[in-house]
Amino acid sequence: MMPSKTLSLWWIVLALAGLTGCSASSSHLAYVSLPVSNAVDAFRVNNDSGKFTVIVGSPFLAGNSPGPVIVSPSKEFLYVANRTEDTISLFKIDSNIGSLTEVTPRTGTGFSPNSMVMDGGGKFLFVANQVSSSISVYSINSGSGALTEVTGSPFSTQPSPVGLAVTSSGSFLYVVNSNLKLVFGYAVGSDGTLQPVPGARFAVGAGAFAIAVDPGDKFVYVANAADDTVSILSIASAGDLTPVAGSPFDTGTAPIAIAVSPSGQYLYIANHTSNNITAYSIDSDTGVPTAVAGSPFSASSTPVSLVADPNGKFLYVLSQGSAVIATLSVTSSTGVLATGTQSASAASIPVSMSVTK
Amino acid sequence: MFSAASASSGFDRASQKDNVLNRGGRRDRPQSLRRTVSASNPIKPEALATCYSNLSSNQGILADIYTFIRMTIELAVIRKTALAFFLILTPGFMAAQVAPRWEIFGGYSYRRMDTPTLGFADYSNLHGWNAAAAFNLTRQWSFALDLSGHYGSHLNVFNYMIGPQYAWRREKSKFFIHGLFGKVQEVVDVPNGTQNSLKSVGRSVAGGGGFDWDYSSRFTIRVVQADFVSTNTFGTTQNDIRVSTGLIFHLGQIGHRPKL
Repeated sequence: MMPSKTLSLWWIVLALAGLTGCSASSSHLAYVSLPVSNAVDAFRVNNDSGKFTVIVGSPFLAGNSPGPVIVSPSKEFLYVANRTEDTISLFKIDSNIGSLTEVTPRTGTGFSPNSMVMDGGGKFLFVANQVSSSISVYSINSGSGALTEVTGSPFSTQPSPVGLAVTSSGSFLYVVNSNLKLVFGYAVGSDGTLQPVPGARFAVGAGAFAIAVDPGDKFVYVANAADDTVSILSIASAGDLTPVAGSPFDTGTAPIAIAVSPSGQYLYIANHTSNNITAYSIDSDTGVPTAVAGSPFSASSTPVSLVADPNGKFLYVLSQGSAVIATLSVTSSTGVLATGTQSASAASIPVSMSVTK
Repeated sequence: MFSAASASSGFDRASQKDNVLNRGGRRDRPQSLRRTVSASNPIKPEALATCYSNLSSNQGILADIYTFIRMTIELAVIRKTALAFFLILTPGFMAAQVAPRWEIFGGYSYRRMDTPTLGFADYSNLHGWNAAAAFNLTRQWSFALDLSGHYGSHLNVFNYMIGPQYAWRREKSKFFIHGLFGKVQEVVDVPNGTQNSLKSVGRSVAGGGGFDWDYSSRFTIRVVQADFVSTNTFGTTQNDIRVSTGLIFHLGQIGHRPKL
């Protein structure tokens, strides 16, 4: 017979182990829009392994044909642009689960809201209305997440705006339009109103489609899908843009999406037709890119969207016609990409993705 | 000398009735002798026979009386001592001979649930109840029915399990281990636009044990019961820890208490 003291001790240890338990490893949340399902899929992603776990209850019902998704910097709210409903859904994010609860009524936008960005402080939400050729600007209530359209919104812009990028500081907004070889710059007022920056428009390559700003607010990157290049422009203090030496730079065929690493050191461009990813290391002073060793890196077929992991360890890739969210691991010291061991399947084909910090 | 005279007087009367047979044909013990030694000092028949034998010998009567008294006292002391040793040293033996037929348990239960598998940021601390009925087949083996319900933020979990249980019983304490299997039902309060809450039913397997302490003949305190519970719901596997405590009520009895 086992000594009673030993048994008692064993049970106490077991009980304490149960009460204290092991803490879950750190993670972040990822949300993808599913236009076919009119819903948003929610995942929790392990920061170390990149493993996706479907959040119970997912997918969460949204409006019609949800497209762009954005998580607020506070991680409390998720905004989803419903493209054929011309509305924005506001979801509250459960802090423990990561599940979504929609706050109704939905907020109206212009026709076909196809692109959406938010400043780093979570103060304003900018929406590009492709059909109505306008930009809607909303101020965000920090407590409730509610949207209030700012005075003067929507602001007219050139026809068919398809891409938006805003500086982290929220000072400048840049817009690319389908079939125009231009980037339009706007200064964002303290009340959210838009005013063109000096020079207003800046030349880029043909088929400019995707646009991004580096985290340091120094450079603007534009993927020129029609001429297989990426334009890099430096941001002046007034928001006007100047191409860096040598811009534009070569990419693969039909560059359609851009992601910048959280450090701002690496630039990744998804090439839709060549099914690969071009990687550049960016000089933080000049903005001049240097190809990362091994670039371009193989990607899943017809990539359409790239999202950088907030910890700089992974790059998430969405592909046309595929429900799979592919994960590439990033070597933080070199920017080299490697095929990840983790991937996830959404409930249907995702078109946009946003992750929490 | 008073005691010697008294014993002598009793012996004389006993001698007169020495040949009287009772109804069953058994020779009666002398009445006076019973009055002297049987109330508090039971004596073995073999010792009495020795006394009778000595009395019928040619030794002096006083010596015989003295010997008789001395042996009676010695025998009484020996039997008292033996009884005392038995009572002091072997109460566990007495108790171990019996066990309740049914042990009905109910009490508080804590569950640390493996909710990261459901997408939660961290493990969930759930509180609730645990009830069980153990049918003792023997003093060691029983068959247990285990029910539990745990409640937390956004999440309720119910377990229905059965399985064998083995116990070590010592004096007032009992250690036990068990293996349980059955079903689990999890209800997650997460509205997703189509449903207000989600329910999943899956298999449940548990292994663990505990420590009980007898409070009275009818009630036992379950000091602690700890189980590892593995469940499968929502397409994932959760590995939980469950800790319970409470009161056990006894019904029926198996085994016999030894007769002294």
